[in-house]
Amino acid sequence: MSGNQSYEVLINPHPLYWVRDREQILIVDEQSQEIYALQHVEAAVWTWLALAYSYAKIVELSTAMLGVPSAEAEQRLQVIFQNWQNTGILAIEAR
Amino acid sequence: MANLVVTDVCNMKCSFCFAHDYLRKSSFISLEAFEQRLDFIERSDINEIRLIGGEPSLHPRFPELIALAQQRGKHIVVFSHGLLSERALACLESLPVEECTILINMNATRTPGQRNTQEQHQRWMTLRRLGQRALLGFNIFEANPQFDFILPLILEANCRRVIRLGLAHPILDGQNEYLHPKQYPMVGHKISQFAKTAAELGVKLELDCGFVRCMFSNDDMETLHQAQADIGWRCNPILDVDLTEQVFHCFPLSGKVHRPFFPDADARNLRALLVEQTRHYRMAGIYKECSTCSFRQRDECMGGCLANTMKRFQPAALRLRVPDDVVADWPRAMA
Repeated sequence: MSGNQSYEVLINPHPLYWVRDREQILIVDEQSQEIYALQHVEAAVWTWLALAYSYAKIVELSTAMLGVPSAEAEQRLQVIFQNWQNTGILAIEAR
Repeated sequence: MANLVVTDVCNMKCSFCFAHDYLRKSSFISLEAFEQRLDFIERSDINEIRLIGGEPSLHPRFPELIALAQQRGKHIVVFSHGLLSERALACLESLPVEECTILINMNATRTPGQRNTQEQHQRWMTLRRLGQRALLGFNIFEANPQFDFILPLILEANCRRVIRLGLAHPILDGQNEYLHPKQYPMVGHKISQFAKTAAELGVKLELDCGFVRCMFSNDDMETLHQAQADIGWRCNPILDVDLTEQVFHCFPLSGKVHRPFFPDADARNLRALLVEQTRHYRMAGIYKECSTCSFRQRDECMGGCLANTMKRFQPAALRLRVPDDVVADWPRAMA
């Protein structure tokens, strides 16, 4: 993440509604009529996203939560983002 | 079951009213449209004709609506605040007892938060005349509901020996006074004690929609069973057919969960569509614990009122700047 790094913006591509339950976060996608249940790390990452934390902050928190080196945490994060993109709850903002 | 909205006019100002946001117009159903609704009830094999509003008795042609309903030979239910005009009261009084139920909302008022002796007196006169036709209802919107006054009224006016208790639910995206789920356990205990007192006088309690199992302790449940209270944990679309050719799940969800009402509509299909529209929210409940609760898993509870559940959800507005190499191969959202 150097000073010359260029960025993309990730967004929810259509309206989603979510709620924090005792053991999971539930996300309703009214467009696809699907519901997603996120637990553990995924639930935490969703919360940080909802709190509008920066990518660097999310990597830092993931590193602490998982107890792994930063590079590994970032890799795990990328897998999560990619899964969410595959299910349609996250996408790159169109320019 | 289906409720037919015959007017959106009401002359009360109940703070807890679920239809608060709906009662902004001044429309009355035409006799033609009402007959169409009655055809729908018959076609759907529904055995009751349930008139709701607003206040149904304010319809200028209320006696004609009742006469049309009566011709269908089904049980007639009218949801009313009980402060009726002489004309409306005489009309209801003329119905045979076994053919109708006039459900009187005992805490409807023009003056929320104040004791209104004039209203109480007028309602008392109504009850005396309706007698066994009247079934008394009470909406709970405070943690310490005062419903004891209903028992002597039932006995003195010889009304049906049942009290229908309802929880005041929130209007989704609206504003009304409602009972917060945090207050449910306190209310649950109070209901169980009331059920015991009522049973001693031969009066049964009937619980309306949106109750949850965990609001009652095991002791409360035992008391309710001994009092033969009619307990349910339901939250299903009853089907409210409104004046603008819409069918909605219920008043609290009327702004969000609705479908068009077609002349040849069938209740079963409409109900299935409304269930499907809300299916994904049902995984949650009114509490954080609902989605993993053992009562729920054993089908002993539905997780409470859907409007309360949906009110817990918040819209996502995600926006995260990430290094472009992280998302190099991703497709873009539609512009």
